Amino acid sequence: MEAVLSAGQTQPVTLTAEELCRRYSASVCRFAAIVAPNTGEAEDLAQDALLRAIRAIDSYDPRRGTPEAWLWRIVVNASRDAARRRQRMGWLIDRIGLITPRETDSVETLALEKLRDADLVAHLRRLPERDRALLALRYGLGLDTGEAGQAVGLSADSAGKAIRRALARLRARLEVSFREP
Amino acid sequence: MSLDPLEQRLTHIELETPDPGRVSARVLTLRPKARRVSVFRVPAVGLGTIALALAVLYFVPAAAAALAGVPGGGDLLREAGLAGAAGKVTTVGAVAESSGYRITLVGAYADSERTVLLLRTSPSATPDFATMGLTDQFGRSYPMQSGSSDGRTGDLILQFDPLGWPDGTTGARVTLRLNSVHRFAYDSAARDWRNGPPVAGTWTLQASIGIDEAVTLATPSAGQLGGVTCTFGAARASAATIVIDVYMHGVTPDQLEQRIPDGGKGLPVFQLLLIDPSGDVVTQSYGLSPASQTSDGTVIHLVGFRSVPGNYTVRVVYQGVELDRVLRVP
Repeated sequence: MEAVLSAGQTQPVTLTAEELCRRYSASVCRFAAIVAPNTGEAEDLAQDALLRAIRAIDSYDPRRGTPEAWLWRIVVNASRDAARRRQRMGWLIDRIGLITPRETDSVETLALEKLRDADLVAHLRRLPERDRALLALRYGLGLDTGEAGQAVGLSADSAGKAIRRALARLRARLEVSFREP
Repeated sequence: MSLDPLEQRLTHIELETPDPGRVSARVLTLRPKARRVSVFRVPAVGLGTIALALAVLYFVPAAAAALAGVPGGGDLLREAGLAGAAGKVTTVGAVAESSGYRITLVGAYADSERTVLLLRTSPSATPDFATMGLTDQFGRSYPMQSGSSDGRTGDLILQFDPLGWPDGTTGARVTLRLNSVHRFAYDSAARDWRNGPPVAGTWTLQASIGIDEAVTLATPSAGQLGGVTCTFGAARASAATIVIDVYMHGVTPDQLEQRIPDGGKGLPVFQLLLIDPSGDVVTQSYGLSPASQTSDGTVIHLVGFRSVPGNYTVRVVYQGVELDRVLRVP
């Protein structure tokens, strides 16, 4: 099971399952750590996403985009499915829909100074699934808005706006937690 | 493009990520069999079909006749934890005689967790494990995991490591070689069954074993055991074996091996049980070792026996707190 990857590369590279794991497992694990609600599920998600990619490796077509874009679509779909499973099982009890996004830089700056990474991740994990995926793609994996949008089925412009809205929702959560310790 | 403070924090956030090496290893183990697209697809498919048919003929003997039909075979199956796999145990019937001892390889079974050989010895004997070896057609050796014998019947059950690639997918032709056995007899003075002195000889027994494929089960939900989070990895079941990885987050293998003082040997602080639909404990093994330690805690590989379809309970006990999760096993 292998695919020949040439897009964006000077030499065509044959990507085997082993090579796919070697190149991308760390990034997939990082993405999973942001979008999954806990470490155990992050591992399950990373495993599921990589396994899907390996199973679909023959379907990759270099003419349709970079291998990374192909992989991130698979990974995002895996995270969506995992989120749906959790919802079905009644695991998601926390939603953010009632909080009005507001930007308050001074409060945010103060909150950020006091916030530990673990707490920031906890707030991040309470965002809606698509917000988490976009922020994980943009900041966790360092993709630009076009690449992040491609993975979730949005144009670069729409992805940029969606990422800003996700940041605003995260800011609102931080603000609430800072004012109501 | 400049990043605001929140974006900068998100970019450089320290994350507790799953171990990419462990995830990769598991994914590569679980991946489907290799499949290639070829310009010679049609001829290749034809040749492949012929090769597969030959491989099946070579490796897998006529479908396992019910070993339970062999006198005493049912007991042997139950003792070996193969009660649920009676139809998948390969009946072998290979016989070797040497130095007055007759050893019959009655049946064999293999899945992704274990390779089990069912033997009868006459007179009742146990092998000298140091000089015994199981190899496959590629010459690879398989370490023994466990063994048990019944001195009254001469039944002997030997369990070895699972077959390696590609045997794990195609089946294997295995050879068991014994170079020494011990007479296994009742010592009336000691009121126990004892091994006699070694008897040298040569017993070579061959078997072709098909592999019993496992199915993936729904992963149980996470739970809390006091302050410890317990999560579960992928669970699988073959006709005879159920396996599941249990993750205890934030605790080390050493902590799990501690005992609670009770004035005697102490009670184990951690226990892992697999309970079948009738309430019997069917745990075969679970191991704790330094290799069980992960960046986030400890992973324990639980192996249990499957006898019937139904709801099996995984019970995790830690510091007196119990967590039960149900595995629906087809």
